[in-house]
Amino acid sequence: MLELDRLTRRFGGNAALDGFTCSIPAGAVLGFLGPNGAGKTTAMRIVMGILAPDSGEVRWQGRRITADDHLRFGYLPEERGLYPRMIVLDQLVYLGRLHGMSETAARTSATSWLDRLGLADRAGDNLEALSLGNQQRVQLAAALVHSPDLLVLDEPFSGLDPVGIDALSSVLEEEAKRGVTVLFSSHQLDLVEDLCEQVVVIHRGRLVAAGAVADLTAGDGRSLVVEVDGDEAGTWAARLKGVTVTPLRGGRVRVQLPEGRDPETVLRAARRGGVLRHFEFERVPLSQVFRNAIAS
Amino acid sequence: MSTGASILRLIAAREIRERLRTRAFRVMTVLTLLIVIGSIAIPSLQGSDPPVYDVGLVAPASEAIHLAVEGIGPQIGADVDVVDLPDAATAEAAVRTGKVDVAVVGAEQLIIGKAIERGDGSRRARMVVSVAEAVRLQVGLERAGLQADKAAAALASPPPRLVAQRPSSTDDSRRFTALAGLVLLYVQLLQYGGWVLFGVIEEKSSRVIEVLLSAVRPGQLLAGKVVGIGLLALGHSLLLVVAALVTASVTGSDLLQHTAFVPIVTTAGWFLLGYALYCTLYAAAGSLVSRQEDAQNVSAPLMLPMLAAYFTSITALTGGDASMIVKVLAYVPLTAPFAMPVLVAIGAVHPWQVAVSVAITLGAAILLGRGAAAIYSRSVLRTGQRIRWRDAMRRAPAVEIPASA
Repeated sequence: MLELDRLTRRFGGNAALDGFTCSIPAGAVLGFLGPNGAGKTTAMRIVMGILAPDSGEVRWQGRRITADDHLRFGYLPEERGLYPRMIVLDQLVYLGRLHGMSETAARTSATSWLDRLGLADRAGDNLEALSLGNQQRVQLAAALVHSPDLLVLDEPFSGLDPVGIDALSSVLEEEAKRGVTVLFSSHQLDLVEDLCEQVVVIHRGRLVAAGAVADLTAGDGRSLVVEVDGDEAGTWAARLKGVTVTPLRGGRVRVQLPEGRDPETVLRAARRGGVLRHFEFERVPLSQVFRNAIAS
Repeated sequence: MSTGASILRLIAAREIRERLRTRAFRVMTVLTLLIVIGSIAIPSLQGSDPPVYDVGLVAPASEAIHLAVEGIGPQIGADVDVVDLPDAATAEAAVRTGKVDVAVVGAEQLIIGKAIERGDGSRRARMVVSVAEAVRLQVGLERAGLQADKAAAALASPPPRLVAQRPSSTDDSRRFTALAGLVLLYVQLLQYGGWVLFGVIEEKSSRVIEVLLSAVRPGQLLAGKVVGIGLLALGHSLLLVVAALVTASVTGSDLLQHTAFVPIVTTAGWFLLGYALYCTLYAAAGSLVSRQEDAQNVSAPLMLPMLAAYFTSITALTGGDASMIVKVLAYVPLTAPFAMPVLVAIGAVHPWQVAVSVAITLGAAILLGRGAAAIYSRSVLRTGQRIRWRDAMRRAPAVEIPASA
């Protein structure tokens, strides 16, 4: 469990973090959301020990975090960068060793990550000889080479093409399965929805929303999305009393139920109206959850 | 888990390995080796034959004068050949055309080409003076009634040997070692200080710094870099010194017998102090900027004391006389590694004064090293605009430019 407890950090007159508190259960994949300038990078740098908070503390497995804990963390900074003129494999081995690995262990792990990320044939090249996309993969390997217990990834998906996004997603899912705790920030909310069990929303240095994705996006149970074949206007619902019908795109309609109305009656009405193609309780998209959180 | 020492070793080893890989390093090492070997081998190969002077004697000149003039060769370390000339007019022409270097016209006149200044200590001047002296004595003794051969015999006995109790204050060997040390320190500081500077900037501009700092502390990174590049500088310097000594011994240059062990060790000591001082400051300077283009601006304040100390010290060394400025600079931390060895070489200081200078410089190295580490820690994560020295020295950073959030 990683706990960020009342973290405050000011730069000049601006508070990047203002009593920010959140916790991440061990083994969870947590999406760290917030508009630009909300304090995400500052919080991540404090977790990684690169910045010191003005007040507050970070705890890992119940204890105040130490330098040795940091060696068990893997970090992908938002501003990517490795030594441009260093050989890819040497670079990964060096970073592994800085995290306390032996030469042999670091070499084995670096080689297997390069293999896994499809870069085995580039291991002997200088980093700058690689395409930007491949440099990003090396950067990911650099965060993973020492088999960290916690992964802190700042905008890991930015700049990746769809193939790269799939590759990274599958790496994250596998790492999570291995028991690694993953904390990543992203503006791509659909990806966050796919990958994360939990999200935290930060705004102006404070926590504004947190919880399981399923809970946050669950609607109130009175908004239904229904599609009846050939009935784009939702005329089948005309006889239902008190409901509001709003046409949506793709032949679907939103049906808003009044207090006390059983959704079962709507289902029966829809079936009578024609061939039922789609029927669900409407969920709140994560983007709406996000907007609500930062508006409050 | 890694200990501080093993982290330092890892970082220093990477610096060494990566520099050794570069072409620039190999080219530079070979080039400096060639310069050192060439500058010792070429003069000593040329200098293996003593110079030959032709002295013209206008007839009639006695056999004794012939012998006396030929006899000055060993005294000035040259071969002297005597050429007989028929008359004064021929003698003048012979000097003018360079057929002879000096023409002796009877006992009254020596004809030479270019005039000799008072105090000229060159071999040519010593030769001319010796010829004049030999003629004067020989003719004087003959005129005083001594037989020519007796007079020649009287003059043939060698001068008494000098037994010195203390070395001269302008001992060539110490001056040479100090000069070599001075040039080496200056050249190596420029070279390797530049590497420290650009190495730090590279880590900032490539942004690898953030990955590194998630595993190691800024102080470890700074120390590892300075130690690694310092070991390279030391190794390179040792290579040059060994090459110089070997070349000297192979070519039979007289340089070798002048180079004493103690001056080499003390020069090496000052070299290390100077390197430690400047390179930690270069690292601090590098941490203030994020782009290679700004390197010049930010390192300029370090160039000033280095240049001032280098040139005043060189002047003192070649002149053999220490100016007030050098005597003061010998106690100022950033200039002492240049000035103090020079004062020692020209015998202008007592041992206790050297000890004071070393203590001041060592103390300053420790303080400046800490200060530089603090500046480095504060500045190394701040990217974008150049940070001013003054701002970096303040305890808390005024503005930090976070990546985006």
